[in-house]
Amino acid sequence: MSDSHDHENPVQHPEVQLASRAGYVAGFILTLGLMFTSLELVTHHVWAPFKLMVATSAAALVAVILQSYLLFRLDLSKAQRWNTFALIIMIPLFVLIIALTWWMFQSLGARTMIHGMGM
Amino acid sequence: MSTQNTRTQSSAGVALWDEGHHGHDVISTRTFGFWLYMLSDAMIFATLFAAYAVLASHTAGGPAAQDIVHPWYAFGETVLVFSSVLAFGFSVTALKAASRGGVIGWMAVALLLGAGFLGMEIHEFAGLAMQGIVPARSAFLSSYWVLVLTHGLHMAFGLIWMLVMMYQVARYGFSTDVVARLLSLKYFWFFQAVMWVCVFTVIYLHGAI
Amino acid sequence: MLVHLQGPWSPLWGRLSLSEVPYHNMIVVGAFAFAIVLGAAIVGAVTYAGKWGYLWREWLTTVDHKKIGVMYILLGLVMLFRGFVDALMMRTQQMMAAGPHAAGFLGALHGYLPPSHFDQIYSAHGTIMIILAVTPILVGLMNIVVPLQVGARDMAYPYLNAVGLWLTAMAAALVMLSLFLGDFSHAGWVGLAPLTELPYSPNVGVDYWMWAIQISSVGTTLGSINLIATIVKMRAPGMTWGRLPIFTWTSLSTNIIALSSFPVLAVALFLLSFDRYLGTHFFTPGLGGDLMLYTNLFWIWGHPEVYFVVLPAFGIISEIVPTFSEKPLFGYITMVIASMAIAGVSWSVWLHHFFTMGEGPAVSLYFSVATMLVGIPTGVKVFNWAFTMYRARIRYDVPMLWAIGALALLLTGGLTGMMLAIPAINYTVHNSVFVVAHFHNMFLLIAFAAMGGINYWWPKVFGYKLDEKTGRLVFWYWVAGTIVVFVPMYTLGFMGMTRRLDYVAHPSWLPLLQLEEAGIALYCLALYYQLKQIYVSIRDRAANRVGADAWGTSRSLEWMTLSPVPFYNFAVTPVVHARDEWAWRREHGYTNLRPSRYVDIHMPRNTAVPLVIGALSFALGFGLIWRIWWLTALSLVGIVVAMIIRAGDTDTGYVIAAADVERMEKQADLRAQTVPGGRTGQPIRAVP
Ligand code: HEM
Ligand SMILES: [Cu+2]
Repeated sequence: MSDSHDHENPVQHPEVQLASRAGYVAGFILTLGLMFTSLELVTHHVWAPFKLMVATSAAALVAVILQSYLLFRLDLSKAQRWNTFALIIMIPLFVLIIALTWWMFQSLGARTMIHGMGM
Repeated sequence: MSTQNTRTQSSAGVALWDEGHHGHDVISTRTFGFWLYMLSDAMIFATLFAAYAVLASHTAGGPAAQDIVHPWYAFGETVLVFSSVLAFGFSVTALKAASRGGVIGWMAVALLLGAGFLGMEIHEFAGLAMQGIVPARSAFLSSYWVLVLTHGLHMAFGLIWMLVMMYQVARYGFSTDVVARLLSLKYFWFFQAVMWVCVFTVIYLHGAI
Repeated sequence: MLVHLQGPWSPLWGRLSLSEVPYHNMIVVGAFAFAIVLGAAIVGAVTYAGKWGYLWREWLTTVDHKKIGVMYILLGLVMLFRGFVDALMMRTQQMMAAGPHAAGFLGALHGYLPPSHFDQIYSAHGTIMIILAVTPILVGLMNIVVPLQVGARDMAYPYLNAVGLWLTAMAAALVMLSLFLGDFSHAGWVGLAPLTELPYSPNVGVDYWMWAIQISSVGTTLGSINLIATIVKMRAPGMTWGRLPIFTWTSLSTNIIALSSFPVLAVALFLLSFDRYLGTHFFTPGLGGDLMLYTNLFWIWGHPEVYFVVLPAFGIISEIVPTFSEKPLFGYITMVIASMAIAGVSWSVWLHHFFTMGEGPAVSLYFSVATMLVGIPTGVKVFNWAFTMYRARIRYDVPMLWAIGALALLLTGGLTGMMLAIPAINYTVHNSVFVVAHFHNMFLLIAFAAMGGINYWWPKVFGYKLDEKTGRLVFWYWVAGTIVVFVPMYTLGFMGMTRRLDYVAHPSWLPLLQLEEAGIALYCLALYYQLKQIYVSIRDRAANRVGADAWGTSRSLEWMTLSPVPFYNFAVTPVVHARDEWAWRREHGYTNLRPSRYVDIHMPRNTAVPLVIGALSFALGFGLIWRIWWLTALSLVGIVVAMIIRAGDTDTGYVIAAADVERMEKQADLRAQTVPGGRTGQPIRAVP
């Protein structure tokens, strides 16, 4: 709505006060380090493909979790509770649509004998 | 919220109306709404990843992921995205200190780094197009282009938004509206780093395996 | 990068040309004449009454959630009428075109509609009914009721709310325009891939369908953000989660569904538009494209969407049943859990729409079981309503009739859904009219609940009740029509009749088709009485005025506001003490609605920006459909500029002084004294 609601300085708002220089720097270093490790693993073909996939996916997952905590500062504090909760509701849906889609299409080509689909 | 004594009381002392109620917290209502929007945006990416999962192998005799991805180049883009996000983080810490110059200055740095990322991405795709590796070549390439460039489009949009916010901070200072928008932009920009982690891993790293 | 189009194109006009006006089609010309006459009549009437200023100030630029809700519902009802006319045409065609000897008229071999026209009608019918009729009506009801039920002044983002409305309205306008300029999609409301691809649908029809849905779904997504934020952030003091009315709970769960599922639809359609505009190969049959991927993405949205429309309907029933049973709702907590569970399960069942794709048995099993699981929370709800009514003094007012009718439909529709969830059965009836009967059964449940909701909350919004006598006639004719149309349709499904037929090969099916046509006649009667009900109610409104609590036994917060609700909703924010606050206050004798003192109220200012953004989106859609690139670019830039200008507007609110609030409330109070039952209304039933 309008400005007329605020009776205090907006800069004092808890969400502004969440900002943390140390957190952002830590987030930067850790996630970049993770991505670099993944890169090294892949470009040097350290493991078999499947193992590489799993390892890099795990690194990505850790990076995303770190970002949620260090950049977005998602936690159960009063200021952030609802954001965290909304995200937690959504995560299963992301997983569901990607995983189930992949699952149902995985053997579809072979079952429907559409080999000419350009694979 | 208010204290009991500003409320209408029934004869039994039950508070029925709250005359002291000053509405809600405007900033967090705004940022919460924007956060919800971000989640729906994340669903857009999830869907694009689902499509990529199905189509990645449908190369129709054209180039496959291994033939076109350059993980080291993409790592350069990673550095740019992450450092732009870091610079934006400093802009937000400057907001905490109520420093207009700090907010605008760091945002300008974030903007430049973000523009650098976009430059690299445009260079990459212009190169592909030059070699005839265009989306119309195969289903794999269609989903490759669309997924990566959807992220790029978000980046471009973020840059325009930064320009608007730099102007607004200079013009209006830290009003409620401006602060709420700065916080929303913060979510938006940080979110691009999260999505880039996924794009980098799934497209550039898995593609190179 | 743009695809090469067959046919003419010019930089200025895109694909537009005079030959795109279907003036050779008598039916379209008739519709056009009707539209012109109606439009002229409306414009003339408004001008004659000198109401343009009023319309602009009070409606077109409003950000008041109640007025936006009313406009949503009006839009939905208009589109419901359009969709009904489509239905009538399809039924008539099938009845006229059964068997090789059926005569042909108006250029059709059998019946009066050639296949290309028939296909457009069923595509438009589905799209309109689901996206532009049922959805706006329910969104409108949520818009009106949710802020009142949580004790708020308005939605969390009143301006965004108006943007959502105008986007939806412009999508409807695009669909209507397709009647008179170009054509509409012939590929079903679901957009059967690869039929929607450019080589098989070279005209603009699919583009109309695609962009209209795209624009309206942006509107719906914005609306969902607004409603969720309103429920989470705008509750009055004391309105804890455990006290939230069930309609608000279902609004919350339904909007979580919308927020998460509409983006998937947006992607499905964007990918399709890339195929059609840029020549990519997402869903094409060649070069690796996968048409089942489209179907998959569509139903990832599509199934949650059907729950998006059913949950508010459940919420409406949950409000109506206790009011007219004069009892609190049975099993509040289980109702809340069931609402959330339904939303959750709805995310894991979408493959049941294409069991016949050829996926593995394990996949089918998973989706089959998941689909059947939804029966558990739904069953919980049904039993809760039944237990609420058990041994109650039920009053059969019009809203209650609709609610009970909806329950009956839920039973048959749910059971046939269970049948369809079994792959073995599904393989035999998939794409038959049995499926069509199933989902119409379900959508009619929703329509029944929506009608109940309109009858129930009408007095809250307008200050007087809808006429009872005609209301009952609407209900009974609608019930009769439903039975007479859909029982034969289920039967024909078992007999093997497939859906979307413009020609029916078996003359032996004719009697049942004729029976369905008779049902349509009953629906026409319901429509007649519906119009009459509204007319009679407006005419006799002075006799039907109500106080704050229109039904005398209602329970939630919205009945603590004046009827009609003032634009600021509550003069002073209420403090909530109980689940069913109003019932609690009634029981404790706190029915005086006057606070001890009035305070200043902050209100959002009206703005024309949403209307402008809506108009620009219409231009954007139009430019994209006809491939007029300058118009597309211009309207896109226009939208961004409008948003930036709005962001620079620092004067978006104003204050009503406490003294003014007090004056307005006193006046309303005086008016209310003249109503029988006074400010609190009175029960309809006279109990000694
Ligand atoms: C809640 C209200 C419901 C609505 C609005 C609804 C709507 C629909 C729609 C629109 C379709 C077909 C769309 C098309 O192919 O064009 C459909 C099909 C189907 N519905 Fe429902 N439905 C509802 C509830 C249910 C329930 C409770 C079940 C099962 C427990 C169910 C099971 C199915 C199945 C299995 C199909 C696929 C049939 C086929 O195409 O072979 N539905 N429904
Ligand atoms: Cu379904």
